[in-house]
Amino acid sequence: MHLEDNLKRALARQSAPDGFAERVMNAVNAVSAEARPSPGASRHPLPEGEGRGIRRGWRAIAAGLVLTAVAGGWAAEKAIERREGERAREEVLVALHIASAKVRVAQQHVHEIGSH
Amino acid sequence: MNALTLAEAETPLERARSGDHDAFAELVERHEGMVFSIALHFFDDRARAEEIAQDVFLQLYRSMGEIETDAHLLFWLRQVTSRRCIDGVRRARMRLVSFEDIGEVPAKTHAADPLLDRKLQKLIAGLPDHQRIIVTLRYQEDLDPSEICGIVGMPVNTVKSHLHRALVALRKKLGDH
Repeated sequence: MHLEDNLKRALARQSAPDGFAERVMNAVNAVSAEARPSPGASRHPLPEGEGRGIRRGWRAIAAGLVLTAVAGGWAAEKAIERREGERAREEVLVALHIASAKVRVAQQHVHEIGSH
Repeated sequence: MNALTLAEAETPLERARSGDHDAFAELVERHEGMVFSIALHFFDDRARAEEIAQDVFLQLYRSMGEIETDAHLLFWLRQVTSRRCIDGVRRARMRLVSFEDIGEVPAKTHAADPLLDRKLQKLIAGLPDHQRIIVTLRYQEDLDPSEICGIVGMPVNTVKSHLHRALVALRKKLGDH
């Protein structure tokens, strides 16, 4: 039999697994429930459950702010440490530069003494 | 025409666009076989194919507002499924079955020659990504290269070239000259 006919048969559509549409609809319902706002949240006094939800929201925001502050402090401390490190490195380089200049002068003296 | 008759006259697509979940479920049931099969023939892995198909329908739910007609829906589903297959394999290189790995696996479909079908499915799974999706769209969906090029976003001659190379490779491996 011709290859193309065999391919058509081998690649025939197959049924999706049992319960596939149901699983998709469960996911769709979960997505649409997430997207749906609480009914009447701003117009009526909050029922107990919703009030708890909003308090939880504020707590989450406060926790976020605290975390941001802590992270900011940590980052600033790291920046200071880095700057101090760079300054110390520069000082070491200057010291090395001075030391090498002194060694060069000493070598010159040694040569001069040797040539006399 | 009263309101009830108007609602009845609306297609599932129109009802799904206006947020009717039952109508959306109807669309899923109508097209699940196509979407699942494209992913299955691409990955040769049922679990992976189901995962891709679910993602495609979730994306469809979020994009229902963009879908204009039933033909557009079909095109959209084929395009998004193909892209997800290619992207999925790029993100995490799947274990591709080499031509040498082809064994005699029991068939699961009702076919005239189940062994040959399984062998072909394995060979297709070993093709390069673009050849694989093009072969799937050509022979599963019975689409011409001129239709496939719109779905995979390639010039028609590139699609023809991929198809030709895929058939040559498959013939070579099958010894069907």
